[in-house]
Amino acid sequence: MLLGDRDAASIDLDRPGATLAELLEEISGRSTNTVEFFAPGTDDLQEGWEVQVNGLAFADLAEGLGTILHDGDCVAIRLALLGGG
Amino acid sequence: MKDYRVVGKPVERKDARVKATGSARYAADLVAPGMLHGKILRSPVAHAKILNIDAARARSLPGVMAVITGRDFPGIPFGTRPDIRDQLPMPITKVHHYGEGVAAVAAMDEDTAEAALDLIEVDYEELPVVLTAQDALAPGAPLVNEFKNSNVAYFSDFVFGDVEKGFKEAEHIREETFTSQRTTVGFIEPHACLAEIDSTGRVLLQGSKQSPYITWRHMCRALDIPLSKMRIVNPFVGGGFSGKHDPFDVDFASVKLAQVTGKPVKIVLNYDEVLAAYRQRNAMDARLRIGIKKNGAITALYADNILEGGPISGIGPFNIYFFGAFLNLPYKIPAIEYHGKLVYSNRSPCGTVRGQEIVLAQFCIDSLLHMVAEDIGLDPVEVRTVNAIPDNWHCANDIVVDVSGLSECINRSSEKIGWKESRKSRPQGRGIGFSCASHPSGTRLGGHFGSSVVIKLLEEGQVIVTHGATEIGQGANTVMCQMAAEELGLPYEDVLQGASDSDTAILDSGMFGDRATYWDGNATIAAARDLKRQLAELMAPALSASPEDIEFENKRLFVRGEPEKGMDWLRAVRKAYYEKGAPLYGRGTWAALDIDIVDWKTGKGNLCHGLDFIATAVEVAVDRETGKVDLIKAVHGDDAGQPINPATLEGQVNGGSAHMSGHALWEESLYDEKGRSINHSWRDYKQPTATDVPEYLVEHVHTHDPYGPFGAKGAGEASSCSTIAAIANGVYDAIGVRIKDLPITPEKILEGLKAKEGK
Repeated sequence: MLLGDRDAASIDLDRPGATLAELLEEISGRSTNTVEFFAPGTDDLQEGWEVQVNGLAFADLAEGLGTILHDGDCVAIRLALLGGG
Repeated sequence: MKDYRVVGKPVERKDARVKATGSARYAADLVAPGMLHGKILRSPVAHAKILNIDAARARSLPGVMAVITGRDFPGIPFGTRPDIRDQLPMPITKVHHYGEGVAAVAAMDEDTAEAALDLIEVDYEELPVVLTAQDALAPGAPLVNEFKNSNVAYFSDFVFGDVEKGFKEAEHIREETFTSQRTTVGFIEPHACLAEIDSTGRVLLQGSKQSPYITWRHMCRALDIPLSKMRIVNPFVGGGFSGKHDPFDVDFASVKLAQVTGKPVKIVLNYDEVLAAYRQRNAMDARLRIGIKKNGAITALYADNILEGGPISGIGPFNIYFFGAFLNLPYKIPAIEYHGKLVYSNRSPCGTVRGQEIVLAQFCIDSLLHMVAEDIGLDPVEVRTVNAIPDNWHCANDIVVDVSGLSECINRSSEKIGWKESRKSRPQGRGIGFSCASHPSGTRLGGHFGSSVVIKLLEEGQVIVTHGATEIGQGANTVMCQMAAEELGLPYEDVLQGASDSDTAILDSGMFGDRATYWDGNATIAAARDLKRQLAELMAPALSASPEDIEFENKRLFVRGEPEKGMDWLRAVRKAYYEKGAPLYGRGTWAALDIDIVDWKTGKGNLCHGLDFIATAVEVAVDRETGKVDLIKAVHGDDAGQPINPATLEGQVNGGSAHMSGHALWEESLYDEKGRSINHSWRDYKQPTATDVPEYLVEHVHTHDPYGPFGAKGAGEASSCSTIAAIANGVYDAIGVRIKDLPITPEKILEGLKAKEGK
């Protein structure tokens, strides 16, 4: 659902040196929903998202959204929910 | 089983007297100096563009202080999940359902506010309506939600175990379809709130909220203010049943009107508004296929399910998730395939109702189980016993059941309902139906999910327990005070309940999923132990003992193994206050960090502790002439671990069952072909009353949950999950007519009888 394709488990980014922000924008663009990970012009995640790069929480990433991703990096995106059952 | 002093005793509820005497103050009772009264203008159509709203005449009416519309809000959508934010405080470009609030008025009195609504002119351009799941999924269907380019709000596809192998191993396979209707939530108190703005612009909202944390977070986002700019205080709440989690137009409008006018604004809905335009349970279209062995053991299950959920997703993704994940319980099923969809429509927005959509899943599974058992000549009690999940069971989706009393629950309910005797002789038209269920004691979500409790020690020796759960009538305050009293060695009467206030309490992530007793109970124990530790450290020198050796019992501290070497609790408290200058607070937090966060993609993971189990048996009488069903007796064999308060536990178990007897037999929110509600009054919407429910008996099956407070599990929702199928199976047992399309109305029964008799 998030990726706009129920079978998608990974994304290939052709450009070298892509940043976390670019990855999130790519995912946002593919989504069937209105997904905004961060407000344009800001350097912080919107509330509701928990992002890790190789197990390191977003808050601990020195370069934040500008973190450069490398081959094989694992980016985990989790939902912080407001509701439950 | 340990013999407790306070835990396990049916002590008087902390809120019993104020509620019974009418002195408890609910949101509608609140007043503030200079308070204005708000009213909401509602859409007369279910789906339309809003072309223009002209409020000039309303604003000029003497006594009217302000009129607002959706355009007065920042236009920031909110929603349960960050990837599905599809709601606005009030609509801006289009209305999505009949009764949706399109404008709000604040006036000096209610009559003036109501008169002003008639002066607001709204130009609509009507759009075709989407009413059913089939409408929503039809090619070229009108799109319902402006934030989504599809009418599929959410979907899940789960596969647990080897389904193909499971069906190959089956010796009998049966497939059936099941449907369920829209129902309302059913709390007594309609939505109401009072909003005030202080001199710094900070918002104070006092409302009838089930999960104030959820309301707080959503509202601050949609109002574009930081959390620190809003304080939320819960007065007494007249029931929630999952219908009061979210902020509604009533909450947003009162705050906005208070901001605009600078005066407190109260809005109290009438119940017609609630029935027509607020949260309901999803309508369901489901298909299940089950494979079993000749001995009744289930080998595989396939389920697909479409929930029609109104114009927003709300908590719907959870409904889809829970329907699929909880196919794994309460029976041993080695392989499951599940496909679920949530679709938008132009009926009232859905949240969920007590038991969440496990209620619907269980109606399907336990009806189907009865059918296949009959196919192979197996007794309905036996087939459930064969499949009942035991202790230390690892489900196909990786949920781990630590302790299950289900087999004993089945034994007790079948014995007490007189199942074996009924097979020898029973009156004509009488039947008995069974169903089982299981419910978690809260799941682990992303984001804030822990529970915290503060216990303040008063200098007269009493303590005040402030927890982040919400008392919505279920008895949370009472059981938390019981647990604090037990742990501190104090009388129950010496434990007072603190207020639910975001300025002083760390609010829980929400009051849902049977989590309060379990999560806040553990936090209560931790807070009590923290308070004892502090007091022991201060008193240890006076007792010539190390703090670790000091015990607390019967309002006294003493050295372990030397009970004569001690001091009264009150003396210790006063020494702390007056000699040490140390007023004490115990703090406790608890979160199940060892379980998995809900995995939305696969549905797999050990997502909860404290699975409570229930086996429900219902005796019914069906009148063959009229089709009327009377509920005679219901027995619930209930494993809620160690009951903290057996009386409130029975109230929860019986309440959940009574609630869903309405879903089974009488309740349905009806709409006309244009999507307009047609039975939004208590005269026309048939909810059960005390005269409709059967004689109830709860058989407590005591188990000890290894993670639960004093061994307790959650309670209150399992019986709602087990009741509908038990009634459907009972009707079948009585007259041989199987109803798979809820509610089980007299008309359907008479049609079924005619068909059976070949008429």
